[in-house]
Amino acid sequence: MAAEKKLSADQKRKLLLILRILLLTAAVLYLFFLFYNNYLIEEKIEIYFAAADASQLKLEKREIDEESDLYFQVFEELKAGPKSDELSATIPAGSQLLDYSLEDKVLKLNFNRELKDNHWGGSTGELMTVYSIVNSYTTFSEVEKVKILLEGKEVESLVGHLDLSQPLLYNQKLTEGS
Amino acid sequence: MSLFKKYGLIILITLIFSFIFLNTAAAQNTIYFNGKDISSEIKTVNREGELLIRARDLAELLNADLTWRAALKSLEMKSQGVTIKIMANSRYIQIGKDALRTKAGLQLVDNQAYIPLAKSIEAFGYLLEYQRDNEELYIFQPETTINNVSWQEDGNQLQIKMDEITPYRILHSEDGSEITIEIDKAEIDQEFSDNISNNNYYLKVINVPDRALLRLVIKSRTPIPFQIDGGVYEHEDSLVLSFLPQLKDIRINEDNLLSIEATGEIPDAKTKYLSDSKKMIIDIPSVVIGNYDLDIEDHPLIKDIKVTQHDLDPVILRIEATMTNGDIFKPLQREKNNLLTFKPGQRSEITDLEYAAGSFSFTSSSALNPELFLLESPPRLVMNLYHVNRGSGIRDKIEINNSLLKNLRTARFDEQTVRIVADLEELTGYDWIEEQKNGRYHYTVNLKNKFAEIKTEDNDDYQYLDILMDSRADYEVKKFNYPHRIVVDFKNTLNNLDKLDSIEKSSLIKNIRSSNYQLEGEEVTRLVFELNDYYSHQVEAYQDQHGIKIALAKDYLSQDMEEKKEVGSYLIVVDAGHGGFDPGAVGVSGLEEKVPNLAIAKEIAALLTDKNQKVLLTRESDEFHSLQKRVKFANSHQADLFVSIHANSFNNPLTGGVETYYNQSDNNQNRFLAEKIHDKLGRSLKINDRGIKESNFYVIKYTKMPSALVEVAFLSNNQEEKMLKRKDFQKRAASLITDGILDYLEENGGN
Repeated sequence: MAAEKKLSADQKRKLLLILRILLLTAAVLYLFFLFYNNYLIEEKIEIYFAAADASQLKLEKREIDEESDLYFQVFEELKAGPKSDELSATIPAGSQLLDYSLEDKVLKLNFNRELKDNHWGGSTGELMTVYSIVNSYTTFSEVEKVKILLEGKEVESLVGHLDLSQPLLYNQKLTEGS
Repeated sequence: MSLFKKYGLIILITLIFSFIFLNTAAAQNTIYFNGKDISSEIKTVNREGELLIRARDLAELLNADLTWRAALKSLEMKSQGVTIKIMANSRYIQIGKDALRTKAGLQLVDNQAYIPLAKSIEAFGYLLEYQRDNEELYIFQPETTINNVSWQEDGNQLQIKMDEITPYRILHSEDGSEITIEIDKAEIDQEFSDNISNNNYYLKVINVPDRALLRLVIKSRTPIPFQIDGGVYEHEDSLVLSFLPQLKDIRINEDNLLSIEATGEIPDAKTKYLSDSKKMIIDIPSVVIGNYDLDIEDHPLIKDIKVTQHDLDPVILRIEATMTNGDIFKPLQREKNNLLTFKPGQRSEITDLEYAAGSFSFTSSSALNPELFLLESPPRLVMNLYHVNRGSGIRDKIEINNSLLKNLRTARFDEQTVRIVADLEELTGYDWIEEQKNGRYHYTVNLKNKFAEIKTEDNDDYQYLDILMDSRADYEVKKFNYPHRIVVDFKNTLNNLDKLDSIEKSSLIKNIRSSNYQLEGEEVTRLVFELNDYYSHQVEAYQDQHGIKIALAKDYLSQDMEEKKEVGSYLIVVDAGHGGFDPGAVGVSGLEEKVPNLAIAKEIAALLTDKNQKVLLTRESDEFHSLQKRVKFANSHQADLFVSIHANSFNNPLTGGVETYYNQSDNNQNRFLAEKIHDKLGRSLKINDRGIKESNFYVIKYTKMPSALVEVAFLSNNQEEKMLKRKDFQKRAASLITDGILDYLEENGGN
């Protein structure tokens, strides 16, 4: 009788082990399912950086920081630069996003003067900077166009080439390369 | 042997006894009652593998009334409406009307009554759980009661109603035919009755006494369609398990409609036909096999139907129908979401096969998945269409007999397949597109345009370049100078020009070459005729735009023309970028962009003035002008051309090269100007050629005349900054830009 009881306890332990393995398997399957359906991947934001030869923009993905404001996070990620060695940062030192507003799908981004004053200039340089910002923000479905302001004021251009008097749309040509 | 047996038995018995002894000795459990250690407050003994508690202690613990009838040696304990009775020398505990067998029954130890702990305390509604290898015993009241288990939603949901949802697990056996719902700290309602067992399912309620678990085990002959993901949800105080729908019925009715019915929603099925084995395979996702009826007997169309659970992860039900004659069944429009219907012989019908300009097209009553491939000797493009019939407007043969195609033929290839064959003159590239219009599917196969023939011929006055294409050409003819070239860009055209050398050249034609070139993001085939001399040219299309005839004049055809040849005088605004407090980009060693910009702009102005052009500079010194002011300047002077001069920069010192920007305009004049200017820079500036680019730069966007913006070189590149400082480089850049401007004016200026 005692032997029988001991055996049954053993069996229970074994069963419990099997249950645990099954549960773990279910958890792993569930995770796979989430990945497979992009549930986890969608929780990322897309940040555009310049290819090293400035021929085009390429995106990198970043985890969403739940603690901070998403729009500020995008600019922080742009400032922090790319992870890949094959990409270049596009935001000059000291640049800050002061505030933003979103109205009728037009996102107004208000930067400090450093975005202009510390910029390296050039048509290519300006294209990369402006469209890395525009393309990164227009990946949000609620943003169709981006208008760049400097210290609250409208500007005709950032460093003398691109027309910033109008809100800008996502630039597909730059993401496909030349 | 018998001696060995005897000894073996003795050893075995000794072992068993020692086990019992050991077990008794080890049974000093720590016992917790509602979380409190009561080991010191109660007395327990182990008898026959059962833990017994002194009845008095248990009564105290439960606050129960205890009656001991010494005469009967019977004990009665009453608490919260439950009465248990137990007698010495009996192994049974009487609980209410039931009697439960125990191992040890009532035992008297030192004249005290000891009764089985687990059985009696469970009778009072408590749960027991052993932990840490049975060293700790927990006794507590259940946290939830399972009141009812029932089927919902036509058998697709199992609802477990309970007082409160406690932690639970749902497990299923490997073959999926058994599913266990394990609920912690739960008891089953006394009124509970099994109303879920049926033909398909069998419910077993298992109380796991030592683990304080209640298990609801559901068994079936077939896999239980439980969804691993999202199959369980909590609804108020119920646990709801969603089951996948089960196959219920497969039948074929008098109208030969094959129907497949399930207990719930069926997603769209994938249907495959295996023409070799005359089989139709229907794969239905998220449906399990279940207890289905199959009502297909001696049907003339279907020989046999086999149903299998093809896969469990993901769940796929496979229905394999073997056809008698190789007929097929086509899915019909869904009417009910739990029903799939198929109709025999419902092949797609294709209609209206037509040929036009290098493409042939037809329509179909349903979506097809055509198979296209090229075959050699004779060269032909074959398109296999499965399970289609030929409808109206599908002739056996359409004679085309052009340079691309001889015929289009259609034929039934086998019982399943209609084949469209395009007899080609020679093998060529192709692509096909599907468009859905008004519920019909339109298929177009485009054969890539090809060069059929390039030939040169001449008369006294003209040298002709004849380019004949297989189908209508989409082209641009451009004239470049220094050296003189006629450039023709062809869209969607195969570069099959491998015998250009064999084309007869003449005194006027120096060389003919071709290349693949990117134009506005599209690959074009570029044909270049390098010329020894150039007077004038005319372009005309022939053979319904299959052909392009370019006539090059061999001399000035008249005095008039010679005069015309001289580029007229135009007003050109040259814009030196930046200036004043705006230095533009600043080079590695400090060169400010505004400086070379002005130097190059002034040089261009001088060179153009020499060529009888009128030039205005937006700035002539180091001063600032807004972008708007520069645009207004050019527009208000009604300039004919606007060219802006810049030097580039990027935050990577390795980046370098020359590029020319234009803003897309309807008449393409901006692009033509940029092409002309960049042609010279790209060929002769001797730095990296970054090509022509389209962008919305302010000064080229708002100027009303053809405009371009040149980024000569990169100041952020150490080497190029040094070049930009040098006068000879500035002059070379200026001279090349000037050449480009003049080239543009020469060809396009008169427009």
